[in-house]
Amino acid sequence: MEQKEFIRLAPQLRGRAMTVAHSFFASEEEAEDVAQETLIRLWKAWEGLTSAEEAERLTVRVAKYECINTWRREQSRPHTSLSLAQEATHPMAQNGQPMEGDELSEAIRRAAGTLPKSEARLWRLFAEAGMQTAEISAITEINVRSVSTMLSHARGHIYKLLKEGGYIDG
Amino acid sequence: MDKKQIIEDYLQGRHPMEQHSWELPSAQELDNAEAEFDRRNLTPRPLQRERGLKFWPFAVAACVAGFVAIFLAPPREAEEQQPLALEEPVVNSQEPIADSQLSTPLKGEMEGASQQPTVVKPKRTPKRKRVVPQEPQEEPLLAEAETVEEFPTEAAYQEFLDKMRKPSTSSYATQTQEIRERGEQVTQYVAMLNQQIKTEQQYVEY
Repeated sequence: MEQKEFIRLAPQLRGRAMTVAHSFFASEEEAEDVAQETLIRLWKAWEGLTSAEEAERLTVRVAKYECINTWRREQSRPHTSLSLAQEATHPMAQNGQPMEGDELSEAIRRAAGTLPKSEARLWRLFAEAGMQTAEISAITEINVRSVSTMLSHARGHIYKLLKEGGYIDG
Repeated sequence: MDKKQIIEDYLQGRHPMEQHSWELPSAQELDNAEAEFDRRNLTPRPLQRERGLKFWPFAVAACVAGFVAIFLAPPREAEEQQPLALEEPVVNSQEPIADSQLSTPLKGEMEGASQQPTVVKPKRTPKRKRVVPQEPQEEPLLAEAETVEEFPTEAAYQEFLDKMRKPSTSSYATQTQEIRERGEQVTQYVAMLNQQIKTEQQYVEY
């Protein structure tokens, strides 16, 4: 199916994924995360799908898979969120020296981790999944203009942190 | 690759940092996850537990508000009590005014001796009597106050006494009501007898 079809069907598929996630998780945040991950996977495999019915069936199955995955992740590391959050508040403070190589990736990841939850979700769709504004808007059901604004704000925030850490000159 | 270029590509969405696979899981993985999902979903859901936890603060707050409303509400007697009314009693200007009454300047003194001095004394109005609904009398045994001159006959008096002596089979509240009514009738009857005696005395004098 074409990508235009994905934009058209995304709200409906998101609703199905949210229903599945709500039946498993009490938290709205976790349900949102599950729905987002599900739709990213569907979007990546969209060209191989043949009909809307097949997409809907697959959405439910993938949503269940993501629910189990998320639940297992929580079980394996239940108490690491606080230390990660504390680390993320000072993403560039590593002995006052800028890092090299893979450490740059880690610094960028930490800078993105300081974004507010709503912006972090959009930023992940944009920077990691490679989605465009229209597709992000369809998945999240947020206005296109609002998506652009939030992405711009997130980009400025990460840029500022990297500059303060000495990764960007000037 | 230059650091600046990596950062620039990342910020433009062209260079993901996470090594995350977005591939669809295999059919086997999906089947296993679906079975696990269904098995875990049969247990009590955390959603219901969280809703229960969310409900409790509101329930406690409602109870506290109820207690506060009960304790802060004015007592029922205070509601029935009438506000104090000021009454101006008539004071005879010929009588001497007591010293205690002159402790405050009087309006009459301020305006001149020609006017009568007045003493304002608050007076509590009598409480309202509770109105008890009375059942309508089926047959009045004695005449009303307007027909006091019509003296009761001996037969009516006997009928009245019979009714007084008859044991009542009604409930306690009804009995109380009946006793009260009979008391009022006795009072009325005595008043009529007095009136009769007074009338006869006047007739003898004339």
